[in-house]
Amino acid sequence: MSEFALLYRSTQEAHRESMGSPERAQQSMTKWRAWFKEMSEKGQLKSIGQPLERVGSVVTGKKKTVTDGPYAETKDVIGGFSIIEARDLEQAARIASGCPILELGGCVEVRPVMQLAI
Amino acid sequence: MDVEEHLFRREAGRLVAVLTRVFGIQNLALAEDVVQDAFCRALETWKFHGVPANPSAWLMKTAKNRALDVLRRDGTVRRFAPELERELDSEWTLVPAVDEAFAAGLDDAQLRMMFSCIHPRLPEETQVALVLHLLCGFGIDETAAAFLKGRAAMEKRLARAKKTLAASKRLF
Repeated sequence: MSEFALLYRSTQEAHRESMGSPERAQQSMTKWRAWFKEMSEKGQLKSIGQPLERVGSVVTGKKKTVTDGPYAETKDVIGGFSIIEARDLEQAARIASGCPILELGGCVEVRPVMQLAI
Repeated sequence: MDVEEHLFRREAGRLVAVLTRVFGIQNLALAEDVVQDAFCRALETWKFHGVPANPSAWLMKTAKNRALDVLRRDGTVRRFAPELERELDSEWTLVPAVDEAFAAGLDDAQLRMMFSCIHPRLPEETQVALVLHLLCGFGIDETAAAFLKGRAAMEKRLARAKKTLAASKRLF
């Protein structure tokens, strides 16, 4: 089994939209909890990961310039990440396709974790 | 622990009522924004860390912190609740005043908000729609469905009603 990082990406608008009314908030929360639970029961969830604040700083260049980040609000921002276990990238992507963020206007980036063992 | 059914619906009404009390009725839209902020934070953190033991208190505290940020940031450019004006003006009294407003009986805040919603200048059906939407946590779609109306028409009607409400001098 290999490990994969799932990066949850969405724009600020899509994110707010997913909690746009109490009913939608309730549904979004229920779906996310259910999805994590399902992965966990199937032994696919290595680490649930962490949520990330949607604002921060970006340090760039040799001059180490610090600017407000991540980027302009129109772009999608990583709102959190998890680590899953899967046979290969194909299976990891299949697992990611159950992510509720897809119904809420966001996307999931699936990235293999590099291993030292060869 | 799973999130209890209708949690957000119930909390939306309570939060908007107490926030309106602090911000003043003219800043109703801001109060709604702060509620949504609190809901967004809840989704981000609860989905990873699980639902806290007392989700209502968590939402209330998050909304309160966000309200304090807004009061500090906008305090010089915006007018807030006239009855709290003096307390909100100084960092000495800001936190205790907001604490007190949040603690001082949600029932009272909700009741005043309800009386404000049944504004004499609004037709009866709009008054009811406003109560459902603002205090009972009905989204626009659900409120529209309750009156067998289309979403667009209800959205327009609620927006207009909120304007009327925001133009009233103070919370009932």
